[in-house]
Amino acid sequence: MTAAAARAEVVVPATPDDAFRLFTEDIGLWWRRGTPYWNDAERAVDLRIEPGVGGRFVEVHDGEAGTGFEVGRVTAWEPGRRLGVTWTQTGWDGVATDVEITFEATSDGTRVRLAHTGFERVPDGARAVAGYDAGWNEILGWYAGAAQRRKEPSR
Amino acid sequence: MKYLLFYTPVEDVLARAPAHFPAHRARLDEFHARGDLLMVGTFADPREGSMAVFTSREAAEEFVAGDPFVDHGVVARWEIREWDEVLVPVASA
Repeated sequence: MTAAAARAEVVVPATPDDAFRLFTEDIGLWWRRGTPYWNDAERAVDLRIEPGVGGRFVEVHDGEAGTGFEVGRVTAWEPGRRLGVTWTQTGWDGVATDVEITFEATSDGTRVRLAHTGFERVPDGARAVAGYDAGWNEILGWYAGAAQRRKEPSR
Repeated sequence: MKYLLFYTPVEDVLARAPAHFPAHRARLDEFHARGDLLMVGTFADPREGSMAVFTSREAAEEFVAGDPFVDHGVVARWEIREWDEVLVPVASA
C-alpha cells in the first residue's frame, strides 16, 4: 500500500479568519509564478478560488475573462475553519482528488493543516503522492512567508 | 520582449496605499536604478490600478515577491503579460 495522503502544516501569525482569507481570496498574490505548480506555466497569469461551495478553483489563463484550467471546485467553505477543494491536473483525464485545509487557532496564530487524498484514483498515484507531499510543503512555505510579511511593517 | 505587470487594487486602495507608499516607492526606485524597471504608473484613476514595464519576467516576479503593496493588501490581484514591442532600437533588439 502507498501513503494515502500528501500532507503539510504551518503555523502562521494571523487569526484563523485572516489565514483563511489569505489562502482563498488572496491565493493568487503569493502562489509563485513560473514554478512547477502550474498546469501551463507559460499561459498562467493568476490562480483564483471563487467563494462558497461549488466555486471554481481556476488556474487563470485569461485574466480579464477569468478563464483557464479548472483545477477543481470548492467542496467545503467554512471561513476561519475549513476549506475543501477538489484537485485535478493535466494528465489525470479529469479525475479529481481531494484537498482539505483546516485552520485552528493557537496561542500565537493559526495552525494550518493540509491533507491531499484520493491518489489511488490517479495514474501512478504512489509517485504522485510523494511529489505532492514535497510540493505542498513548499507551497505552504510561500503562504507562511506572505502571512509573516503582512504582519511586519513596510520596508 | 518586455514584461508588463498589472496591479488590480483592492476597493479601498486610496485609504490603504498611503501607509505603504514610501516603501513601495523605494522598491520602484531600486528596480529602476538597476535597469530592470523601465516605466511605471497608475492609470488616470488610480482605483483602476497600475502598469509597469520590466525588462524580464524574473525581475517582474522578484518585484512582486517583496512589494509592500502586495504584502499588505493594497493589491487584490496581479498579472504579468509578455509584450512584444515593435519599435525596438536596432542596438537593443
